[in-house]
Amino acid sequence: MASSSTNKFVLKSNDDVSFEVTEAVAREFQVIAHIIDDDCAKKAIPLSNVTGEILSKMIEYGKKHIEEAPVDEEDEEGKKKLQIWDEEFMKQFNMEIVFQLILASNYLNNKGLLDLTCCTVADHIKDMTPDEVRTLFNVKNDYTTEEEEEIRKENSWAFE
Amino acid sequence: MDRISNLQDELLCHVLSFLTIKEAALTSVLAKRWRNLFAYVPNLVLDDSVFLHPEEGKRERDGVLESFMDFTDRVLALQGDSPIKKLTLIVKSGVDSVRVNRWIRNVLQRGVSELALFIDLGDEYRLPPELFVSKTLVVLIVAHRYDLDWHVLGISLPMLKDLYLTSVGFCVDQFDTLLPACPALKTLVSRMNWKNSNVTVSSATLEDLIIFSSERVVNPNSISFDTPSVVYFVYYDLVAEDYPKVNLTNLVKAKLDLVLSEYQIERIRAANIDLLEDDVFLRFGNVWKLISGIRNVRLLTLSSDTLEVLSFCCESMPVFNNLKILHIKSSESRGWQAMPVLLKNCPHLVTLVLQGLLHHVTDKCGDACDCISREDKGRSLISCPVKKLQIKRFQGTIKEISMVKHFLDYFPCLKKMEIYREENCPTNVEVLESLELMMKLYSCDVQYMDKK
Repeated sequence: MASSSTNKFVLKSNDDVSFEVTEAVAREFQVIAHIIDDDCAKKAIPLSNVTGEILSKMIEYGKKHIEEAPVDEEDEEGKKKLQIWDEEFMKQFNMEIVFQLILASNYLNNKGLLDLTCCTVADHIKDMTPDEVRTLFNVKNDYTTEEEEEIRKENSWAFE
Repeated sequence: MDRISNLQDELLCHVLSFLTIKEAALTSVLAKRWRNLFAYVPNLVLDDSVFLHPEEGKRERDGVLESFMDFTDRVLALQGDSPIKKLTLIVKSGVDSVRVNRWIRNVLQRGVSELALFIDLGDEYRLPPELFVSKTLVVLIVAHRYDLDWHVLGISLPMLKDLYLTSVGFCVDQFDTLLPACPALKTLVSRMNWKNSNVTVSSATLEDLIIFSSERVVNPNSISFDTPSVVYFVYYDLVAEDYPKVNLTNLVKAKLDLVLSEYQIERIRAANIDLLEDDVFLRFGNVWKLISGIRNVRLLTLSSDTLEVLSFCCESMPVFNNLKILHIKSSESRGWQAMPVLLKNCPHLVTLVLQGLLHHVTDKCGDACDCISREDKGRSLISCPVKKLQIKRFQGTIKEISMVKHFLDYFPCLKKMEIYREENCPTNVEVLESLELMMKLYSCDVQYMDKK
């Protein structure tokens, strides 16, 4: 049996873009790891919820985390390096892409990328007033003025 | 398109979990769907002194603490009986202790695994007894100065791995029941008040043991460490009068800061062979048992006080066969009496770090250092295999320069010397010239650089 560094798999996005990846990178995504383990990975693995654009970014993330994985728990320098890379990696995306990455990393089950993308959104919301958050994320306020006042009252400590 | 609404509630909660509960609660006014989402965070931090718009005296303002308590009640009520991983609670006086204990009980019932309690509600306050019989707690952090009281329900913490008891006044009998009640304990960080007691720290599972005393008035009577699995040991206390049992056979890394009073230090320096009845020697000579107990250590850090205390064990210094890195802090008010024997007894030392070279000159000086001219000058250095010497907090005095030269002359295996200049210390031209000369004259690679 070939080792996981030479064994290759093809991932196919919902818009028919194919990516050849090593087994190790494929296994970064829990759902794909299960497909491999169930021996259902003979041909290309179709991923019906992910576009080619998003999938290519996820593979880039997975590859980096395989290649530059910290040696062990104590490898602070390795962890730090990867963390800096993560931050730089996220800077290239607008929020639309970040949301798609959240959905895709949740679907393919990669906890690292899910946390990274959710944290990016959280950092975005931080220090913003509710109105700014609504505008940024295009959330429609469906409270009446009285209801909104009521909500502010029930969590009043948060607004102090 | 309402992009963020594409995410299911579970994912929105995951996003909010990267915010503080206060930041997250602000999203309750976004839209109806968001009203209660903020409450479902697995790690809850509640701090009564954090404000969106901080102002002087705001915490004490009418109604503010009441609003904090209502908010906490509401968050916990919204969470219902869903599992919770972690609660950090930071409250000070003015918050109702009955409600505080209700919150703690609430998360205990829901199987919380990590609790960090920074509760300052005065001496009358007692933690809820249910805390000490939790079957789910893995990490427990308790700060502030009330006694721990588990008399009501007893104590049994079968899952507890990490226990941090900072600024807790500890009675000894409590300590003796605590460790047997935590059969999975790996890390113990504790501030303890030994008083005049006989204490045995006994655990087969402990790997990290960090203890420091809370009161530095009376030397403890007797302390034993029966902790064979400990790999990391930090001990910061007045010297005890006896260490009957020290079982630290698997030790890798240790930091010692053993302290004596100024009077006791004076007595050590004054003592000589003619004064065998000297009380200080009689009382603290047993410190060799502790030192002997840590002799398997690979990385050892000693404070300047500890180095002076070690002058008690010059005759009985163990051989540190595994010691690779020795880090010694120096102080101008503490002596180097134990330095020669310490260096002689580290046959496999690779790196020596001296944080400061200046020390109190005693009649034992003149071997490891060159304070006094003696026949056996440098003798202890000749047998020391150290390859790398780091000198930190170098102040650029002539005395330090002559010590650098002394080390270069007598350490036979020295390949590399790194000298780190103390911050804000002006560099004397003469000193620089002497250093440059040494860099040329000696084969050892000498480097002089700014503070690391």
